[in-house]
Amino acid sequence: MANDDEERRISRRRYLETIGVTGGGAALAGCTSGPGTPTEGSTDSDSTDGTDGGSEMSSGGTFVVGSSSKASTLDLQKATRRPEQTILSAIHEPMFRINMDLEPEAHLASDWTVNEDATEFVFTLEEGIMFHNGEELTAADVVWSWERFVENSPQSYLLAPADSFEATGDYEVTVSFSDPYPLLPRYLTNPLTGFTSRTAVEEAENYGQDIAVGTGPYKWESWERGTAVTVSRFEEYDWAPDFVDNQGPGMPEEFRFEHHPEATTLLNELTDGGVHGSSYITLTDTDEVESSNNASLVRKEYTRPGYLAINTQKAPTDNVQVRRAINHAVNKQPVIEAALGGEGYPIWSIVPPIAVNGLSEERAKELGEQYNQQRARELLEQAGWTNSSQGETRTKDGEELTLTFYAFTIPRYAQIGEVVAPMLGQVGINAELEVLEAGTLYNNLESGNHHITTMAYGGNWAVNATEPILLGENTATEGGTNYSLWENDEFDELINQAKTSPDQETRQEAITQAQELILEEAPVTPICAFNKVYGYKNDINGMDAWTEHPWWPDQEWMNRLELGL
Amino acid sequence: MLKYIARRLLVTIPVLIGVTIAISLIVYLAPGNPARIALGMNAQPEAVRELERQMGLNQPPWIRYLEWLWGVVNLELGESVRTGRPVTAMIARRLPPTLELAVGSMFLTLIIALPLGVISAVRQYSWVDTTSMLFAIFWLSMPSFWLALILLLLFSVQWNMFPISGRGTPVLTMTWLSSLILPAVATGTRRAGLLTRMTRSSMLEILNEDYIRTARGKGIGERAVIYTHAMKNAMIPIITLIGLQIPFIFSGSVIIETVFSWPGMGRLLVNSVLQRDYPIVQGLVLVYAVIVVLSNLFVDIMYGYFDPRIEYE
Repeated sequence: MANDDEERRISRRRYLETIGVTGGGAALAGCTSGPGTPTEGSTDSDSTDGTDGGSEMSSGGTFVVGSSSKASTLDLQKATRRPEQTILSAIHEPMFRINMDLEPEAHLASDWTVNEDATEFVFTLEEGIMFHNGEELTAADVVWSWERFVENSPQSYLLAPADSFEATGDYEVTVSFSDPYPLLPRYLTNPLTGFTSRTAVEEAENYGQDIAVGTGPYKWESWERGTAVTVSRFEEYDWAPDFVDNQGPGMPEEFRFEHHPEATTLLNELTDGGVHGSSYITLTDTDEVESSNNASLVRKEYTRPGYLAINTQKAPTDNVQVRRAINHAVNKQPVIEAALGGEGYPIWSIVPPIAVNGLSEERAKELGEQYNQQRARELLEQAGWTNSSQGETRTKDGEELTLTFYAFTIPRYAQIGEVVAPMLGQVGINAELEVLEAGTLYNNLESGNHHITTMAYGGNWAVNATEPILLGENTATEGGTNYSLWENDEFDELINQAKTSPDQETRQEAITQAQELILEEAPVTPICAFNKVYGYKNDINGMDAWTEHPWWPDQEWMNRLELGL
Repeated sequence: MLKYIARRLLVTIPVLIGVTIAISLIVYLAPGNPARIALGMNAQPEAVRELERQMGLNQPPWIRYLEWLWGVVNLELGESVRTGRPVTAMIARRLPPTLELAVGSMFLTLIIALPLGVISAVRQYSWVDTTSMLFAIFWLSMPSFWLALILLLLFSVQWNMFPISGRGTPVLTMTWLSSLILPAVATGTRRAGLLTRMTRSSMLEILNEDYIRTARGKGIGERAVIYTHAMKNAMIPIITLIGLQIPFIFSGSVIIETVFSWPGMGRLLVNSVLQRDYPIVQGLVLVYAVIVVLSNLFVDIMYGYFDPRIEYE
């Protein structure tokens, strides 16, 4: 019987090996952050010893985290935005964590198995995991939390394909799917798929506004509206993942998440005021932190791409030659300097090469369009857009080549637009730039009024970097995030394979082909990927350990257990 | 007078309803889907649809408005579409910081502007007059956000005299006061510049009146002439200006609140407009409209105090 089980089910380790190195392109969906390779300032990711700087740590004090964006809700199953996720990651925990090798590693499960076609997963919970209100985490809590997630969460699509969540024991949960869902463990690393105390939800008048109860290393303390959220140390916590040196509880007695909406104020608070650390440093202000006597900065290359989404359904950008001409017309480095203060790097594919399964830079350059104004002009000529002399707007049948170009009011997006528009002008495209606030921008994009728009989407794996922004069913006119309005059956099929094929080689091949197809059809103009930066006070202990994880912005909470004041 | 006040208060009801209809129309007609804005640019379509349902955006705007208005009659301003929290509670929490900043900046405005304006008028063309007018123009020309940043850099970062940002609590303590000073200065000095010039010109006009010359001729002391005879009559245009400034102090402090991370109503309003959180916008506009109406009423009452010839029967 045991042998039968072994045949029928594959072990956790085997499963990791299967989906592991190539990843298959799952998602930390909804995360606005992603992985990167450590650059100067962060440490070797192969090391698992997170004690650097930790030996001098003291226990206690309040660690103040500065943010220019504020939380709207702290209900785990209703939250979606980054400032909320940062706080909630202190209060709640997901079933899996991304370990140092960038693989999903069971955290709250002592064991788990999956059948061969990846349609049934069985998770055995660690015993003794406690909620902040003293209740033990059981299979019933897991099922209830996931069902509530599917019912309420803006990111419910992560678990929505499941046919059922079933408590098959006090500490055993079985999740069943009709179709293969091999990437479930990766999805379960998303902090929003964590667990909430049912009792707390049922007893609270306004759960997520007045209280939040999870199993994480810090528990709810207070929410001063418009000012700060404070969480205090959960003294019973001692179940951090194996790859974290400090198993818990955390070192600081409290974390206080302060809201400073003005960038300069936040910067001053970090360098001379009460803020101990912030990931919200404006990229053009990093020099200020680095030149400060009181604060330092860590940075790394990151996977969040900045790009132009080109409307493929509206003339004249429905012509692939025009789209490729746009790609050739954009010189990436000046955009990076102007919009990001140099805190980024050029990309030739929408998936940066450091993302899991991203095309290599060489391959992307080979297939994609590099900066070449002459080539851009030739392509426009071939598409029938001509002009008598250089510098004039091109015409075709008496009509000028004028494109509607939208940009978001966030400075970096607006500045990308301001730099790119004249570049297009140099090849004879009159790009009329309009900088719009969020509501108006989304409305216009959903109406398909644009030809081009600046955009950014964060993805750690190739699939979650490409699926939302280019899949046919996600077109903006249908309420999705495919602002290129690109509908390509071949691409959709490749993405489907990359997500659901039980065979990892098939998945890898599919996502590679999908990226090559994007380069061929040019529905987007990849420009750059943004650096990730974190400013911190010099007297903070444990920063080396905190940045040890290759994906430290995503996994910061576990390693933050090692931060001290 | 009481009858007049009651009549004025009754007239405010249709005014307030008109204001809320106008602002609701503007907000509803503005492009943008609150669910989409709440979820951000990377939101999945299913997520947007689900949030729209949760926010109650499936109903026509006029039904939402009427439901909200009925709530107002029952002293309930509805719930935020983003957080589900009662708008009344949210405003109640933001009102005290805004009031503190308004009172603080108005206090600063008055203690700077009135003495400086009077002295400038009394010593017209002297170095005091020239200097104070120079200062007045300087403050008037200085954008509030710029002044706020300069104050912050000098007094907080450089000299470490005041906290960089935030509202110190509990109120009425030194911590609270030290956190209030810079925002109040940034808000109040610009208005002080305006009021100084108005006080000076108003006083100059009165000081040239025949009855002032008569008072002086009768041997009344200069101090009594200025503060008893001249200033009281000069206060009418000053009071008018103060009345006009009160609504701006409440609604126009958003930049200062942002720079100093001050948790007031201005920031809440701007965030709510950007996020299309209709109930909060409607609730805040209602509060602002009440403030405008009451400040106008206050000014009218003050007219009667400073000039007994003005009656409201």
